[in-house]
Amino acid sequence: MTKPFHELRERLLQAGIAPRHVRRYLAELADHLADLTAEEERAGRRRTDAESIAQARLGGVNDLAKAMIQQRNLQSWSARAPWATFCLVPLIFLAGAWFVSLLILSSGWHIFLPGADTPFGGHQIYGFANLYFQLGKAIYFVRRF
Amino acid sequence: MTARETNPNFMNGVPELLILKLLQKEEMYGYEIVQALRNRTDAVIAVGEGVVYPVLHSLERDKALKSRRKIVNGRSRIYYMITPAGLRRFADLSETWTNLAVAIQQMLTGAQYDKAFS
Repeated sequence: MTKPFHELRERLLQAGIAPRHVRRYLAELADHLADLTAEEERAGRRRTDAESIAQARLGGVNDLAKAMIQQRNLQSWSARAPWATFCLVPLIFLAGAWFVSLLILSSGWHIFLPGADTPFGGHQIYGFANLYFQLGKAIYFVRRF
Repeated sequence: MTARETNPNFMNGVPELLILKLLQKEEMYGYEIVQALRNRTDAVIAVGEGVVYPVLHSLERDKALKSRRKIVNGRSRIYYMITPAGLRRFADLSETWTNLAVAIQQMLTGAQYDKAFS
């Protein structure tokens, strides 16, 4: 990646533009720059002149960054709604993981340990049943981190 | 390269309108769009060529355009094409700008003033 594009990339990411939009923007700019350089060369300019004119036609880093940053709908969710990304979503995931682990425990109890007073301790569990309970346990403990 | 760029304050919404108009006829990739804009406006409307892409991405995100990757002469190009939502958006924008242009024209030529006092 050339230096101006590297700088542009950093500025866009810092401004919260979604990485997939940044990647595509830079790829399209690189293609456009190649087309402009080829056009200037066809007009009879030397390679170095053609490259600098092409760069000027493409636009400066400030203009290119500003144009992208102004499009609010291209920002990532963490930039658009940090409260949702860093507060609401983790809480939803936490509640979801807790619910799923309880569901696994409850269903496993009824399916694999019918008649048992509790799903905890004292039971010999093998094969798929063991895997099933271990999955629930894993989700429960991962949730804690 | 153009001698000067169009005043950006007057350009709000214009690239969007012109891009939608261009893509009504055929699908195009970014470089083609910029060249077509330059040719069809006699370079009156000139912006840094790279700034067309954020407009294209934004229109695509709003479902006014869709894109597809195509290999042309060994190079991968992203072609943009207009959608039915884009056609509706173009119609709205076009009407707004036409009304605005008529109003400004009347203001500049003094037509309303003359009418009111004639």
